[in-house]
Amino acid sequence: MKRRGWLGAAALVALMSPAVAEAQVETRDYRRTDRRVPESPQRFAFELRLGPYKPRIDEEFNGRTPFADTFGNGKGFHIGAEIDWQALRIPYLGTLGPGFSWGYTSRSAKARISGTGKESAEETSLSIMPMTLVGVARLDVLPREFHVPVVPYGKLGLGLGLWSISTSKGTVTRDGVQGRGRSWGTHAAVGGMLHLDFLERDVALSFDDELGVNNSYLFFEWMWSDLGSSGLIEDRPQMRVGTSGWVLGLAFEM
Amino acid sequence: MHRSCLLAGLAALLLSPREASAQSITLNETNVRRTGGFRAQSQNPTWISRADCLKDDKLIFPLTLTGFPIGFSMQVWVGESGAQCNDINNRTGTTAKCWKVSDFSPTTSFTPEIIIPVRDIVARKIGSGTSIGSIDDCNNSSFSSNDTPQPLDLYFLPIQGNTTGTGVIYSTKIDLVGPAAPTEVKVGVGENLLVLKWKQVSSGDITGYQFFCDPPPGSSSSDIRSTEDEDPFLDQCAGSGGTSGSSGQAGAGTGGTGGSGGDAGSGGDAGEGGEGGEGGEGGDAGTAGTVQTGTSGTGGTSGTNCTPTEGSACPSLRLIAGKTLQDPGKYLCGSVGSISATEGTVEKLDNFKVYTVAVAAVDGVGNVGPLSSLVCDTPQPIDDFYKVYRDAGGRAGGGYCQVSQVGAPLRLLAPLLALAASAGALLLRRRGGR
Repeated sequence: MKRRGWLGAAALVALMSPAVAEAQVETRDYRRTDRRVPESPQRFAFELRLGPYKPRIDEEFNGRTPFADTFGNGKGFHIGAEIDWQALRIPYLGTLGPGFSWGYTSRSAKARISGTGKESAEETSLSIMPMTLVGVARLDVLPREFHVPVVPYGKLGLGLGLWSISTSKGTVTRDGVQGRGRSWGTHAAVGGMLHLDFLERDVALSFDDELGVNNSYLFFEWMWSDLGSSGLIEDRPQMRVGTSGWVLGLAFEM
Repeated sequence: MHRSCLLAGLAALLLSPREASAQSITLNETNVRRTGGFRAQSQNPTWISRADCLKDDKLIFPLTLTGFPIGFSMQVWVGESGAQCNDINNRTGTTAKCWKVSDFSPTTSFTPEIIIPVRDIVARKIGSGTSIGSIDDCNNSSFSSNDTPQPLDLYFLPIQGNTTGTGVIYSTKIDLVGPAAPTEVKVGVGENLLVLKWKQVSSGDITGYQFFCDPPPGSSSSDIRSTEDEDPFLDQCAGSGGTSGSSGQAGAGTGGTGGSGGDAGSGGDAGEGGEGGEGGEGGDAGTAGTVQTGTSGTGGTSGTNCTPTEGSACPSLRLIAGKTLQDPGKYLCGSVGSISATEGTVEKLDNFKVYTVAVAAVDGVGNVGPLSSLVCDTPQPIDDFYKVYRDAGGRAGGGYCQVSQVGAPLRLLAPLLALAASAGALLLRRRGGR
């Protein structure tokens, strides 16, 4: 009986020992206090973006809905990437700098046969490449000073959307006008980034040591873009290819 | 005596097989040429295809002969892979499986170019001297039943009587038959185009698919019969089964009138084509003075191979389901170069014109297989998104780089922006200076 008790205690110690060891290296600040080497310099942020995208084309018309008539009411998706230069560090508060983003979305549907409304076998597609040049402010005061792994941020700037309408024969031309163009507008976004490094600190550290990635985030963003809706940059008809909606993605500060 | 012995020995040495094998024949395969030129690298340029045979292509082999034995002839024998044509038993007699395609005696030239017509190889005439082929062999040879490439070896051999010297072997493949036709072909309408869908062919050495149209795109004719005389199929399709001859009239004192011959063949039912129908035989004449009924005429042969589809849902006198086109280029209206393709587009068609279309698979040497079932439809204008947008009143477009005026808000804000940019630059410069 006595022997059994010793065995049980030993097993308990054995089971707990890694946890104890881990508890010993556990520190209050999950970010940097356990680093073996100094953190690499942080200059840029890189984002991979994904989210729904439904252009505001039908807002151009009073009651007529060419986009919905052709492609339906569903929301398509867009993918994108963004790189920000964190040019300025505002003490205690966060970073500020310019950013450039590129995205791509495309919608396709079977075109209708003229005059009959029947579906043809030919596809008609609209492709949009939204791009932005924005100022980005990321407030990393929360994780740095208060150990809360969330970084709120905001973006504001100009947008440019290159769009193209095609069929299986290539870009469409109607009445001598090529079915592609550019739409300018403004772009704004707010969002929050969840700092992922606390999940796997060792991986995060080696990510920095080997690749120079200081921080990894999962982010959720609400963006608003009025591409083509205003004559801000150009005085000519522009297709309203802007949108508003959420974006989900991964961000890396390097 | 001594002298004669020496001469005999010398002669024996000269004529012995050992001597024959002392010579050497060299073939630099990279210098082999074709009169019709080589296909693209992706289409097995050295193999023999049906098109090579139809255009009477010839293979040119530059040889280098060293010490070629006097009295020997240079012969080229062909056999299927492993036929061992250097063994006389495989060239002659009942066990022969090789056929000769060239035979000449080198004299002064020791770097001869041996020209071998592809048709002679295709003809595969074993045991009949030199195999001489004709265009008929391209469509109907022993190689016409297999749609997979068959390896062939060409043996370049010095031969004298039963003595065979050491030669060289050139290996190639022959493929005269295109892959089987795709099935479940469907057609859809687009603007100046038709979209074709089919079920992928699962067997054979397919490299892609070709589409054939009647009328071909760009053809000014909308009448499918107007160029009948140019149609290579018409010979096969002219006239299907004739109607039976009418019975002879009863003899009435004089001999009965013979039944008339069968009518010229008219178009048969949709489906397989048929051969030209034979005219029906006339009824036998009645015997004079005797009342006798003439024998009814024999009906013409019903069509078996060729039934033009005029009058059916998809009219065409040129495209026939299941048949291989003699001149595919004439009706070719599109292609896809993917083995796994199940969809393709025929473009540059006229709207509001009926087109009959078929799909055929293409193999690794460019052989076009038999046509699929025929489908037909009429290209029509479509409302693509840009048309719908413009019809709704949208005016955007014109290209990515079209020039336009700067927007009014930006014009107003320009001085402010310039000021902000200058301030930013100054700030950065100061920071950099610290």
